[in-house]
Amino acid sequence: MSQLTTTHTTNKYLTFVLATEEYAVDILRVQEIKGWSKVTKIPNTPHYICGVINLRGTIVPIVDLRSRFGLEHLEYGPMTVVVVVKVLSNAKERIMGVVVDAVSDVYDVTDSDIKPPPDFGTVISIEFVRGLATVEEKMVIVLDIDRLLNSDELAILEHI
Amino acid sequence: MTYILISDDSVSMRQMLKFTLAEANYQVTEANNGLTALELAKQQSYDLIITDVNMPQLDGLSLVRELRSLPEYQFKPILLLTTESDPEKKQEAKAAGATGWILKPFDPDKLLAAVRKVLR
Amino acid sequence: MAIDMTEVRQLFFEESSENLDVMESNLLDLEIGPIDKELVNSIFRAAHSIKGGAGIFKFEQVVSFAHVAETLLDEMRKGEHLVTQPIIDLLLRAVDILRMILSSLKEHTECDWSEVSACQTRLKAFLKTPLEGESAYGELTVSEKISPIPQSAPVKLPEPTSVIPAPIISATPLATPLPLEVPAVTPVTPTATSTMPASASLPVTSTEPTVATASTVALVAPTNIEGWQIIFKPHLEMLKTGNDPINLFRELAGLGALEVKADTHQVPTFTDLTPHSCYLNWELMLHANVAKSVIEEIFEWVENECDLQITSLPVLSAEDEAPIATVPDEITTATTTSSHDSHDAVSSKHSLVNSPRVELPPPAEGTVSNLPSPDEDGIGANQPLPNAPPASNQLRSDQVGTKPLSPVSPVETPLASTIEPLAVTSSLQCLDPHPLEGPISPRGNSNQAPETGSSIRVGIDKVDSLINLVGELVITQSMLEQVGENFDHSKLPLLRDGLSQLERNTRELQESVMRIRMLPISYSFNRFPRLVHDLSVQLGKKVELKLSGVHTELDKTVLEKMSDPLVHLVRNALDHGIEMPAQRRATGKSEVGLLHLHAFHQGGSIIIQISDDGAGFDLARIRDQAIKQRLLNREDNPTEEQLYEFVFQPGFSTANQVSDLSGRGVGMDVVRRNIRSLGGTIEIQSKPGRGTTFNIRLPLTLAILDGQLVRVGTEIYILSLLSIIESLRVKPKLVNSLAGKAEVYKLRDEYIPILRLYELFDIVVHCTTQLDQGLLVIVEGDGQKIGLFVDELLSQQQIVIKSLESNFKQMQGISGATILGDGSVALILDVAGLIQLFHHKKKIPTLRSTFTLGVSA
Repeated sequence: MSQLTTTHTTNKYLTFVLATEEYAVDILRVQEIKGWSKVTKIPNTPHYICGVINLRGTIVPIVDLRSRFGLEHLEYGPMTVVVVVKVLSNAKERIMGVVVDAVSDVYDVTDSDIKPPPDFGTVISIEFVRGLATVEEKMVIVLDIDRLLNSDELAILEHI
Repeated sequence: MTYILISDDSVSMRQMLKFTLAEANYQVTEANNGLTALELAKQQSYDLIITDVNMPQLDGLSLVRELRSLPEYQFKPILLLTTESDPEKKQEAKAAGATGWILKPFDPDKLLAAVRKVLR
Repeated sequence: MAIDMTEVRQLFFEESSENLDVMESNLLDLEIGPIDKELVNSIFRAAHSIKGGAGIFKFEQVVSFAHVAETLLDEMRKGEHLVTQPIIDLLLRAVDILRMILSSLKEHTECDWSEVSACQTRLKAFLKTPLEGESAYGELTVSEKISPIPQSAPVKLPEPTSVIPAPIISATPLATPLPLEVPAVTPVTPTATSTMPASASLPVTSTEPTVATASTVALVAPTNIEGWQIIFKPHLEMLKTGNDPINLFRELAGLGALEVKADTHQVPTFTDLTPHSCYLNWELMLHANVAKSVIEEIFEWVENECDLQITSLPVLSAEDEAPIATVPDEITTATTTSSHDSHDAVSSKHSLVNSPRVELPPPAEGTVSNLPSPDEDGIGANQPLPNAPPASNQLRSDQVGTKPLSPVSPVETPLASTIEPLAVTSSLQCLDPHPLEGPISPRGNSNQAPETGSSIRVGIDKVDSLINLVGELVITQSMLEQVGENFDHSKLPLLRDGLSQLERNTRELQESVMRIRMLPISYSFNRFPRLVHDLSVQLGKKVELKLSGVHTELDKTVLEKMSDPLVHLVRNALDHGIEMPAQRRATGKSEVGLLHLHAFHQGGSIIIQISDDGAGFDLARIRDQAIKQRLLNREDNPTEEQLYEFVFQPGFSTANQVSDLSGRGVGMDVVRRNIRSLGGTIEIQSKPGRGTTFNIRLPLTLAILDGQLVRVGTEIYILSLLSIIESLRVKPKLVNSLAGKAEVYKLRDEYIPILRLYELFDIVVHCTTQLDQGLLVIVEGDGQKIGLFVDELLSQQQIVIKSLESNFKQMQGISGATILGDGSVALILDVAGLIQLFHHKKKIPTLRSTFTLGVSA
């Protein structure tokens, strides 16, 4: 369960849509937004790892969020959006792309407005969620982006 | 602005000297052997020359002698940096024409004190 | 001090390491017999440098040890010793010791001090002249210190005209406090301070008096000196030394109130005057509570170029306006104005001129901080010594029979006001309150500057070439930009030209940049002379080492990683290859074996050859050993190549004796693995009785490899060309099944496991599953051969290796990725990893290609 700060700092968040839900990530973690490009599959990786792409010379893994969250898979196409984010894992910064349905907007959210998520009732697993916020009368799930590909999984993957 | 030429084949020693002197607002030029030091001294006038004794190409004592033969440096202060402490070595230094000596290891403050002792 | 010491420290360690290398290689070059002065000189200078640098950081142990070595070298260069094997070996040992000490200081680890002192003792045994009073850095036995005093008193006041009585020591009442007078106090070291309170008499010396600043001798300052009269008569030529009286006076003024009176009677008429001669004499009155030695130090540099007389001024009571009496200069604390006995013993022949005083403003407040604290005696308003209170306290309590003088009226000791702040700081201040790494300091601060990547020195020529090439690239770019503007078909040839130019620029730039990481192999080869020397001595063999192609360059990382393998191979060659002298004689060879390390470039690789003219590999023995280890059957008829292959098996060794150097059979497999991990290969060539050559081929750079593109389904993978043995179409009848689980392919007389890549990678789309529809690529990894089943072979090209782990993670079977011409990513396969992956997935035990035909069809 992620810690919630009770400060009154306001940060900007990028919101995007996945299935019927709206999610938000700290804009400072977002490097860029791009369209879908051909992915090179990597064998023996979890289903939610689509593969890797070439991002201006760097090899970047792509995570399918629907897959990650256990949602129904959508075909990738010209409408698919990839949000390239900076993820902190093991004190190391990694660049990763996450596949989303569509990107919405950028909103200001104050830390104190992020409420702890209920133990049930959300589609996705608690571990990815920092909390819930209300933005323009909609409920937005604020993601803990670092948990998307956490160290446990990285270790597990190695033990094939 | 006071110009000091330092000559020592040890990089770390030069760094120490340079930092210490620069902190005290002296303008420092480095040479890593006696021959280079001599050339530099000929090209430009320095207010003080601090040189190590043991250097390749041209050692400290010889450098002092060479400098003293130049009219520009007949009366300029030249200090020798040395770890030798026996009186013989000191006499050698004086005989070569050195103004004085600074013993290594030196405390930065001592270095500055010695420098002040020879500069107006 | 705002100096970034960590950087300078790092520099020192690097520099010292280089100096030690110089010492070592020069020592190895030394011939037995008469001295090669140049060589010894350079060894001496290197040791001297290390000592000097170590002093900056207060690495006492390094300083003292280096000092002994340096002294021996000094004697050698003066011709006092002949070069003998024992001396060379001892000095080599000393180099090792220094390396050890420096390494422990650098890494904050423990050091074996018994070894250090053992070596130090041996060095000392060689010295013709025993070292001067074991410097303060060494053992600090106080008693020793006292004796050398007369000699080490730096200020030898000129005899002839001076009437200054014999120095210091003579006055009798001063038994205990005597040593205090010696200006050669350098309580610079932490060790020194710690012993100070313990001893009644001051642990006086280091043999290295410090720079003459008035403060140095704060320790010894007596409590009740009113001041000094200084008669200073420079010789005519004094100015030629660069010393200027005014500077000296300034220093004096920093100690206390100074009155200066010039005596001009020696100044000639203007016409006879030579501007550079010093005709003036001075009489100075310094009102300061300092020891004589403090003043002597100020004049230290000019002592031979002047007549100097320093006499003390007695303490004046407030009412006492008496002229400054002549008091002998043994200002001992025992002296009081009331007891004049000692005074009679000495008389000054100078009468002081009672002339109007010329007052110099009193000294800075801060500057007198190092004068001793007479507080305890209730005298004066001096500030206590910053760093040596114990000593000075000791001082006072030692003063047998001294009565403090009638309280010195604070008036007389002008300590309060300020002047130009001459930093008259105590030499004691250079005491590091946190003594730097003592040798035994535990790894407490291991957070100290972590090794943030090594550095590389690049020759200016490489940098310049790089700059040029970038310049050309810029030109090409702007040319292409122009072509791009308003492009039409007529510009096609121009475009083509531009593109080919771009290709050339890029290639050259790439090569140039690679070269920056390249270092000559001499960096690695250089340790071998020493190694071979030591080993051959140890083994009792005679070996001549020949190094060629030492300037051949290779990538820094490759170089570093090849270090150990090369050492292993050299050790092997000496241990098992080259025979004992007697044996060699018996077979008609020269007693001295030859070991040749040769490096050269070939194509895009570097070849390193290690050859010896020793016994060579005994193939029969290998065969026997292989049979014994069940790697071979009696009936088998392996080729020479196959036999050599056994040499690389872990645990395989045909050595009769297992020496502690080698022979355990753990080396060769590791060697090959290391070489292979760098993308290289190693081969053995040997002739029994004649010798052996190891041929190592390494890529010039790690970032690029020559790759073979293969297709499996819609996926493209890359295989390193070096790992590919051959590729072939599958003949179905040569495919056999093994225990129903695995497939093997009969290739000539070998059975090679088949690995269906699509299976391993879970590729289902558009891939060939029929063996006869695809290709089998026979590859080698980790000593095993395996056949990879792919759809098709594509092109071969140079591949730039991109890291998969920087953003993702390391995958078994995949060594990296690359970006193809179309911008897509292709994974680079790692054969050894694939094999492991295969075994894991298929859950079968290690499958090796076998020689026998005993496999059911």
